[in-house]
Amino acid sequence: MTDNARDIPVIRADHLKKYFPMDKGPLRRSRRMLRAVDDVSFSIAKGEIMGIVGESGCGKSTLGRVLLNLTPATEGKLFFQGDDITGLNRRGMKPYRPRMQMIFQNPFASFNPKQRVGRALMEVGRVHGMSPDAARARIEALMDMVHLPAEMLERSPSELSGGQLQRLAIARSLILNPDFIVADEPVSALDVSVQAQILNLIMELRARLHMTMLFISHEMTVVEHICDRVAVMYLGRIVETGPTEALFSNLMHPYAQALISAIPKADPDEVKARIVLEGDIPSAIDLPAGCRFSSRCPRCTEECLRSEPELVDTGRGHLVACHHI
Amino acid sequence: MTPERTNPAPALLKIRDLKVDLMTVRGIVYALDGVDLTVGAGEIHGVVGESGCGKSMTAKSILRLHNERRCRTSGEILFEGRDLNRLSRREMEQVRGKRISMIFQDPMVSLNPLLCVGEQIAETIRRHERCPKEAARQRALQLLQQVGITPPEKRYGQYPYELSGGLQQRVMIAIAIACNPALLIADEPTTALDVTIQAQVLELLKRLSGEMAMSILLITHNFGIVAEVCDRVSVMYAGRVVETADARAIFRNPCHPYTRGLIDSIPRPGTRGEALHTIPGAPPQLYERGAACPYMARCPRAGAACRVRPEAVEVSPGHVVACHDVKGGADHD
Repeated sequence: MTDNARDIPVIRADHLKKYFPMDKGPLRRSRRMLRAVDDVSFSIAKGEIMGIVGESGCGKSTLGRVLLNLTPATEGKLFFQGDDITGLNRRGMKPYRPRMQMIFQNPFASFNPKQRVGRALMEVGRVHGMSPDAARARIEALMDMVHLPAEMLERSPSELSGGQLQRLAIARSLILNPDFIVADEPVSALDVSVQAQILNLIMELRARLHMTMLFISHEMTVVEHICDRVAVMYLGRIVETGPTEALFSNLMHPYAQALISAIPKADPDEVKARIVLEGDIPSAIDLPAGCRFSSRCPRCTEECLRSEPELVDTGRGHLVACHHI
Repeated sequence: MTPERTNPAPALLKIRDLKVDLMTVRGIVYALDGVDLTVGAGEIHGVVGESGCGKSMTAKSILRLHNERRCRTSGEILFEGRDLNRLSRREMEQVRGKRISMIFQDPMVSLNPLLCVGEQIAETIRRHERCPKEAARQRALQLLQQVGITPPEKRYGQYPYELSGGLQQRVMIAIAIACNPALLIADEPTTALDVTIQAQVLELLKRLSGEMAMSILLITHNFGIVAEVCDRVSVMYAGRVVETADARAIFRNPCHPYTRGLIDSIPRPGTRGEALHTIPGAPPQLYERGAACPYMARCPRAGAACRVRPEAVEVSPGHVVACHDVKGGADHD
């Protein structure tokens, strides 16, 4: 991957794992583990938008939270602009907090319903020691950047639409001029025309501010549209990753292929062989030995039941974890 | 506008000028403002539109599931020769679940958590038909099989929380088709499901519609789903149907500027990084019933004529559009 010395990646995950204990036995010694993120490695270069795509329960949101150290990793290393931030506590994270931000799926849930949105935005500056005047000036400049009138700061969240609130959430995430943003399904709760507005805004801001972003989504089409690089996750692991164009022009992992073919296309004339996967996504607790996709894979062989495939480079940074490649 | 031309299948459901006003604490909301909608027998009819356009309200009004004391309803809902708006409560109970059934977005909140799923199916059968317990059980087992839940004997006794979202939605479908309804209303049936599970459920709905000659009114915000499973589509905006056409025609020749705007805002493969088409502004608040076309403020083609609300016009056989700009014919682009 893009791990050359001359350009330190903004964020680098090295064999990151996050396990949640399931049943706490006596002495809290748990046996069963939910392996939400299971050995994930990648890095994001400055100015890059990396997409994580997968179905519910694949660990994509957990991954986002682990990257920001909102929940500590079970194993593995995490580097932020070259600094090892693995396992830092609240105090240790303090200097890094203003440099990383998050945008959430549901804008109605990420604003205090009883607080005017302007105050909610001012709070960010207050917490991180900005003077009120500087914060105000910064917020006004950002309101312009997200194409909202400054008067809107006087409103309360219930008076605003989902699209307007998501713009405000984006503005809020930019107040401290962060180096890294995790956007967790930022357009999933929005209608298609509003979704297009927010995607346009993200593309516009990234061109202007060179934002570095992890963009989490369950929608292949959205990820394809705005990301430079994409990783497809299944049950805690990256099964395929690569530069967007290379990846989507030649999807190799059977899961990635099924995922894209399952998307209903807004084109009735498109002839296609739909791959409909049998069965449900298995649980991330007590995963079997072998490939974790084997229970639903149309190409499963004996080898797949025996050993878990590693990510293998197929050229041009396009990595696939499958025995059949 | 002869029925044979507009609709090859004979109409099963015909909604005419349906208006529903909701009394809320903030005032009257004109939720539905003259909806015209026809669903043919055996047809899968999609209703698309954005949040608040009235698509779920239309579905609820057909079954009269909305709070009738806080609503003012007018217009006709003709179904199997009767106007559902004029039926008594008891007559309506004979229609609901038997001739017309409904499935919802979130199966977890629609199922009874304290009753095993098999019994919930059997209960529906016994509610509508005189049927001994054991026969109802056998029918429920068959239905589980039919919707692809195997092995039925084992699943019969399971509780909703033991099933995944996809299986729960299949149980909902089994309940909905238990009495062989003529019409199934599916309100965003796959929105809460993952895309691979969504594909399974859509395949199932399509197969059942064919097998049972059942019409489906499929409410969705996803144009992809429309293209995949629907025969015909109605696009709704601000409490009205603005365009109705065959599914193919909606994509090939969208005539209403709103339909076109919506379709253009979908990200397409191979256009990475390009700005997406957007519709300026936001849908109107429905606190008043204006005289103008409700889309006027956002429409790129708005003109003086738009100050009067356009009537629906048939621009080609089976393709009906409510826009002044297409009166002459569908020769745009």
